[in-house]
Amino acid sequence: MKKLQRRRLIISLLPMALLLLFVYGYSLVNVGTSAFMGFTGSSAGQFVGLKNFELIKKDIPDTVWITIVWTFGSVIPAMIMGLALAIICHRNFYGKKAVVSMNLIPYAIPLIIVASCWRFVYNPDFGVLNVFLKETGLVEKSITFLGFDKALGSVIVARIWRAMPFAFMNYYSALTTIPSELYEAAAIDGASSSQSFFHITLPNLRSVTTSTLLVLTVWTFMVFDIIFGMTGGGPINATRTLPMRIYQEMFGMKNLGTASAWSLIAIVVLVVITIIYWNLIDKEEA
Amino acid sequence: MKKVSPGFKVFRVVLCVIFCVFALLPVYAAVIVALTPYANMLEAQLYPHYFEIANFAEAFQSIGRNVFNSFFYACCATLVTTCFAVPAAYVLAKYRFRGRKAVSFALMLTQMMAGIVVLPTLYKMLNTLGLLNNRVILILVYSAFNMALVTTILKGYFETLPAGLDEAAAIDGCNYLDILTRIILPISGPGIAVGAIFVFVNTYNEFVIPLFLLADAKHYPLTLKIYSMLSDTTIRWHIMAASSIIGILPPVALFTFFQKYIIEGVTSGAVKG
Repeated sequence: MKKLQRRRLIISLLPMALLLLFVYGYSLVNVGTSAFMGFTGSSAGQFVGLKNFELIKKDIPDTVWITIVWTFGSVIPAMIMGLALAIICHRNFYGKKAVVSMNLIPYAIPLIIVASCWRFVYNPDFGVLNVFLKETGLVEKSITFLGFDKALGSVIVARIWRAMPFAFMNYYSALTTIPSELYEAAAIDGASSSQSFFHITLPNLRSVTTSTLLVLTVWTFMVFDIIFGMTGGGPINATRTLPMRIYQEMFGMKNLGTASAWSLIAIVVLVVITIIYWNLIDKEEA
Repeated sequence: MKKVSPGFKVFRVVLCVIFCVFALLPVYAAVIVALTPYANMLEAQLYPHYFEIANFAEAFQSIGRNVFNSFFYACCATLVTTCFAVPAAYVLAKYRFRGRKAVSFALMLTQMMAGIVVLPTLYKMLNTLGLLNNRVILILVYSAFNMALVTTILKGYFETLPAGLDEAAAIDGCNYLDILTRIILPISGPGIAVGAIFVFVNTYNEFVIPLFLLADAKHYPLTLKIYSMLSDTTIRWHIMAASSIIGILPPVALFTFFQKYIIEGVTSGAVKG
């Protein structure tokens, strides 16, 4: 039996393991080595120590700051909006199904089309947002939403739009797991709606909040398509988050060394968040 | 349940309208542009002034091939991922063995790794091996990126199946392959469906992987084609808008139709945000 089980384990897990090793294994190891190798000029193919990191050092503070603003500037509003909508949709009302369906649409759309659609919203000539602002007399001249000082905010709005449904779905199903007896008991004891919200609803949503926050943070921090399609990282450096840096070093500078140095920074962050997330799930299951 | 006060009802309607307007705004903006003739493109329109359906016909002519490619890649990746993930998820759900946790952790790690982090070095490796622009490799990479997701969803599903099914089948003389294909698969429809929908839509929506791995424009999936329209020197806005609308129909239709499964999949904790 033991031998049989081992054979089953191997034939079940081996195909998957080989594929993942082929795609991830080599690449990840290679990121670790390439980050310390030269790829340009005379240093090509040689170990260069921390030189790649020295090359990118001047860009690190800026990139880290833009990445943090981009990530939390979109994750936190998206979660608050998702929670608000979930609380509304927790009760039945006429048209609820339509509201839910419409608010899931952003989640289904390819990110690069998200970028293209938001460019139609923001366009200074025919963008519907500028048309609206001008026709209602709120502004006289079109706002260049993707200009230097507004670009980051504008791409963040697009990301909020995309991330909100995810937070909504998580909160929406978490709310259904709170036993209704808790609310009934609170009502009998004379608790107001706001009291039951703060003392029953919110505490029961703590674990879903943490896991949604972690997952959204990882994925927002690594989003490439939206920024790439809307601004390409520009104007100048205004929206150059870490993934945009990796791409730019790889194909703009043709330097796999500095690209890998950026990737390595990203991987460290990803691994740390994964470990936190893993421990969280482990605790929940136990 | 307590009665809802009229004030709250008004508040709810207002909030719902705001949410729905926000959710539909970019699609609406694209629809207006998609219905406008190119000559009138710079006209300010708050609602569509034109009804140029010909734009859609023209768009479909230029992206038809790419829509087909996207569907083809998505179907293949769904099939490959499911075939690899079913046995893996089954043993992870039903067997207790040393290294089980390590396998799960490695899976979660691959799930958290975004494409942009590993693709530069993957690109270099495939370039050395002469495997860039190869559609079989492309499908395998798509599958690898979805493997953890499907395995986690299926594992959760298999854990709900009654224990001892496989022992009973083994006593009846079934071998392992029979157990998987004749006993487990027929009763796992919902679990497999949830995973399959996600792989299909993820692959259809994927942009970064083909951006790195494909060079030949005739193999481009729709997402890459839309990007190449977006980066043209003179953007044909009307065609791009019409193409975007056509492009979002399949995944939106799937998600709307299978809404219940989607919410289930998302909350299984396996899905990216």
